[in-house]
Amino acid sequence: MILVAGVGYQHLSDLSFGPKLVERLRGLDWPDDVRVEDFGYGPIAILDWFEESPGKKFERAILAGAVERGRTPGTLVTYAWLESSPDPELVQERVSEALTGVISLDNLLIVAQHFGALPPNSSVVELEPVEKEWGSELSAPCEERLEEAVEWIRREVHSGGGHTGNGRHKEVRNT
Amino acid sequence: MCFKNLPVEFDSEGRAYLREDVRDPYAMERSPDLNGSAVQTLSRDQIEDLLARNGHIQKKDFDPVTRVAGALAFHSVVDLEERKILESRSVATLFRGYEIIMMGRDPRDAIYITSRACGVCGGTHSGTSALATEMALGIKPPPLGIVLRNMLSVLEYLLDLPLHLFMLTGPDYSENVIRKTNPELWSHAERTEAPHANVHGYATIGEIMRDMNALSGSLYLEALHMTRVAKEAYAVIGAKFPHPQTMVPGGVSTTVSISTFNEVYLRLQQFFDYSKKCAAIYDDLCDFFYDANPRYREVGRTPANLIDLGVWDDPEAYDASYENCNEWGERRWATPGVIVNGELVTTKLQNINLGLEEFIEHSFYEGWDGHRFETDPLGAPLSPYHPWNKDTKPRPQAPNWREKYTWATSPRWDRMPMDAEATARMWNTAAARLLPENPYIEPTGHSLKILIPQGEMPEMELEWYIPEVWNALERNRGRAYCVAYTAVVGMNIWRQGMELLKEGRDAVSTPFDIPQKGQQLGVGFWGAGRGYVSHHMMIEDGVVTNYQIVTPSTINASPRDPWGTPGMYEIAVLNSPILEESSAESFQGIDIQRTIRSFDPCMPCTTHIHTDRGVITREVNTCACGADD
Repeated sequence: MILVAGVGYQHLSDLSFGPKLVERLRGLDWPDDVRVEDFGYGPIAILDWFEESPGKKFERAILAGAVERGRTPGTLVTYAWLESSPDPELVQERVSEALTGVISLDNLLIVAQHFGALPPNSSVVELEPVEKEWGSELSAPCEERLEEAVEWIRREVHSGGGHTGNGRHKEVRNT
Repeated sequence: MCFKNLPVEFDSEGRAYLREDVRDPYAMERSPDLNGSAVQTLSRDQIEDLLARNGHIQKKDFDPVTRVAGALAFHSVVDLEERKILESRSVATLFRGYEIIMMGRDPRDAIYITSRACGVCGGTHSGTSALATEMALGIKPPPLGIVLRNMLSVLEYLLDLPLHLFMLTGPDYSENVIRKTNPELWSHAERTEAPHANVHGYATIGEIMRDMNALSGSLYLEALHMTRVAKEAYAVIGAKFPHPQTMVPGGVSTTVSISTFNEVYLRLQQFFDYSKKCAAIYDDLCDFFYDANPRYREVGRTPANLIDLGVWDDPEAYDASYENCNEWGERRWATPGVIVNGELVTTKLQNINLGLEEFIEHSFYEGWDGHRFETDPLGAPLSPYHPWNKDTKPRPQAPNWREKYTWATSPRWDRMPMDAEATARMWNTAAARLLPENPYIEPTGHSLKILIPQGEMPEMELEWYIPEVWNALERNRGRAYCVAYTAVVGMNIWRQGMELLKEGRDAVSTPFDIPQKGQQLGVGFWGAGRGYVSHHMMIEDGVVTNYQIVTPSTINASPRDPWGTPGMYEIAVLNSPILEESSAESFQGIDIQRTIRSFDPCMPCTTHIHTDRGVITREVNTCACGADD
């Protein structure tokens, strides 16, 4: 099975890229083995979700969200999440944040990686946001990126997980 | 008479009045009497002079303080020769702003908006806003609605307490940390038998510490699992966690059956054995530290000034009215109260409310004019600095230790710094002996006996004693016992709920309308897992025109007050010796960190904070050490 999930808060313009993407993906037809999930909640609760059926059944996952890394606003980055052990201090920091309410794609990746919850074949879709104010709509450039992300996910789902990403192939963290 | 500093006295019928011989009753010229608990502080000039002249006196900043909820920084100046702390400043680095977000809104929005103040205790804020709305609008929920809200709080605390004990503060007492900071202590721990091995299963203190290692220790991982158990039970009633969907003014918006109660019980009973283990582990840890070095009694020591509003209402007594708040408050499963220097001075919610003031002299806010309400709704005198009279006027600026340096305000009770604590719940309840008769909890005046039902372990009676000294270790021990206390309060509440269902009293909410004319005042008196929470609300012509939230961390993380008295984090750190054995080069500041984390800090700002530069969705670091001297 393949998991496609969006991560992020609601109503924060481009920072809500993950939930917006889920909304869009749920309106499309997908093969039976693809499950689209809204991961707009705490990474520890998502760990719990992974522990339950069907969480353990996924062979592949695509996780998407907006992350600020100082790139050109409106940039869409896709990359394979490579298995490596995150620094324990970083994990502990992110677990504390996760337990106390912070929702973030980075935290989810780091925490889920540490606890061995991520499927063996996982990739990431990241948007560098343009608009970061309150708002229910994406900015025009990010709306275009949303369509590109949908296409990339569609190709990725059908490609068998060959990692056609354009981004960094290494562990990431906010700076 | 419970007030020593505010000029408020009581007539023969217990009604509060202002003394007539005091010309300007709330003036700040008179320094408050701190009951012998004043703490020595050095002036900025003295600190700067010491720093300039002595290489062994150094700044030690923690920015952010990790393993706490939200954004907290801490600045200290330490004397590494004398092994003492010369200066301490607590800095809340983000503006919360829920008071401003609430302005002009329908009062019913409060349950959803204020819930987002915190990613752990959202349900507490939601419930506290429901109580404030009920008082303002005169809504009395049906008994089962009250019972279900009580149960939600029980379950939230059962998540919060293990989280603190083993995931946030726990690693401070782990093998990995102690090996680094106090190697001799670690050797001693490895050789020391654990007195409660028969309860928790660890033969030595070293084994306990090994399993408290972050990420890998089994106590850490078990706590992570227990937070899940509590969340599952919470979702059965609240629909989701941490922001419940069913908490409403007038009760709850979900229907329940015996199956619902059974679903909750299946999770609640998992805390019976777990709570026995938590208390045994922290008893052994605390006593080990005291035996190893009696000076650990001084780490995080503060005057025993504690404040709590009580929680878990009697479904037959709570009527939401301010008029009767003293009566229904004292019927709670946790008695409201204020402890001053270890002595219980009041259990009346009205008195606790009258004594509360919030100062902003060292906070990033402007003052406010006027004295909107000179009395509370019962005619008792109310300070111009009381939350019902306060306006929130943020004024961002560069931090300056001499002036303003934090977004936290300085709440004081009777002009004294207070500690808002989960343990205050047990302390008040133990000392007041007002608890209704029940099978599980017996207050003795100096202790609280807690009978925990059989799980896989046999039934067990724990006894938490009011501590002789109030310090970092006792805060943690108190929270460990609070797991047991909360679990058996949960049993009392569960039985009340089942009884109501048996009697067919299954209504869970009371309908109400929002009046479109006139002014209404309300206050929610409640508590988070960590302790004290109040929401003061004013409604005019159908919309909220003032909303003030005071949380436990607002109280504990407060900066100096108008009289220069530090807040509780600051006092606790100033009183701590440095017992860490590391050299100056590898100094970790573990005694400072243990002290701060013992308060279970929750800087409730982890979601959607708005600044001039946009919306912040995760913690950012500021630089407290960059504060202007």
